[in-house]
Amino acid sequence: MPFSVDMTLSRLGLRSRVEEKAAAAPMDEEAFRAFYERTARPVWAYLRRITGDGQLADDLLQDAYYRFFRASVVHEDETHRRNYLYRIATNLARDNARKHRHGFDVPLPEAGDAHQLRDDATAHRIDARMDLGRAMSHLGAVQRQMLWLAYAQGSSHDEIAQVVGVNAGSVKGLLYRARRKLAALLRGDGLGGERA
Amino acid sequence: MASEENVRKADCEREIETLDAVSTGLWPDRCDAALREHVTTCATCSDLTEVAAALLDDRDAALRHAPIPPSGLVWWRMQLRARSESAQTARRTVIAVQAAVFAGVIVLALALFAPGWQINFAHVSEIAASGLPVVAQWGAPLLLALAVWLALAPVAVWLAVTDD
Repeated sequence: MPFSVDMTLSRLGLRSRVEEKAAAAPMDEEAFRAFYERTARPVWAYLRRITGDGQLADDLLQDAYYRFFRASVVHEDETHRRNYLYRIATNLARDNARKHRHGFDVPLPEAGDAHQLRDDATAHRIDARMDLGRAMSHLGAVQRQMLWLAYAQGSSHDEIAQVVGVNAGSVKGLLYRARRKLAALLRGDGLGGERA
Repeated sequence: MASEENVRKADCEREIETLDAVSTGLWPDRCDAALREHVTTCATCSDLTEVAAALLDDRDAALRHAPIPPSGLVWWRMQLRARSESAQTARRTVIAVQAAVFAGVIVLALALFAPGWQINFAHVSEIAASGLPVVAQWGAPLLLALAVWLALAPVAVWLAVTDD
């Protein structure tokens, strides 16, 4: 049997440690930029909807990536890395809300939508988004986070539990109640006549 | 417990199928007629379509218009911020060392020149016998050495702490 470094490492049980060390190495510029390109838009969308403030989402986004970069945590795979980033973003949004105790702002239509307002279908979609913003403002922070992760991101219950910081067993019930509440709000049952 | 029971009762076996239809864009026009019929009678799936459709539409719009800075710019800003934080840490260390040294110099100066302190030390026979005569003899060179150290220590700490 030919001798190889790999076999020796495996026999000594050192392979996993060597691989771990490689994974634990700080992210270089190329790896970071690729990860950022893949994740920045969804993370911004998440932050904007859970904070209700686009400008705050801009700031928190950069802070989240900075903390992620400085943490130099070992990640098993891309999903683990992504969930870790979402967890940082969630904690930043939570800390910010605690510090400033600001209200939930309903985002205005995006600049790209403004010139299309003549189009009825587009106007209807913008109205729907405004309604969603108003309805979300009536939910608790954890409910907003869970709903977004479950239905906009397609995260599993375990992933939601990790990101939001709740028990995995309670996600189903919490999500059910949040969904029921948001659906009622979107139908106009709880918006106090704000809907036409 | 009762609310858990309600959640269990509200479970629907077609929930995943309904969510798939919404997330793939088949809902409502291009999906199975039986599923549409089911959603009209099932409160769980009705809520699900309402919420998931709204959130997915909002997400699509946000992804299109997200004002994301270029990755290169973010990387550059992160490097600047990391350096700035390292420098701040070093500054804090330098200030702490300077404060400690300054306090040491004050104590030494008092020990050498303040009459009250000398009198007090005189009462402590062991200390006076071992330490003070040496200090009295080498006071000026000792102070000069301390002054030099006071000037060089922050530079040394800076070089030790800074990353680059």
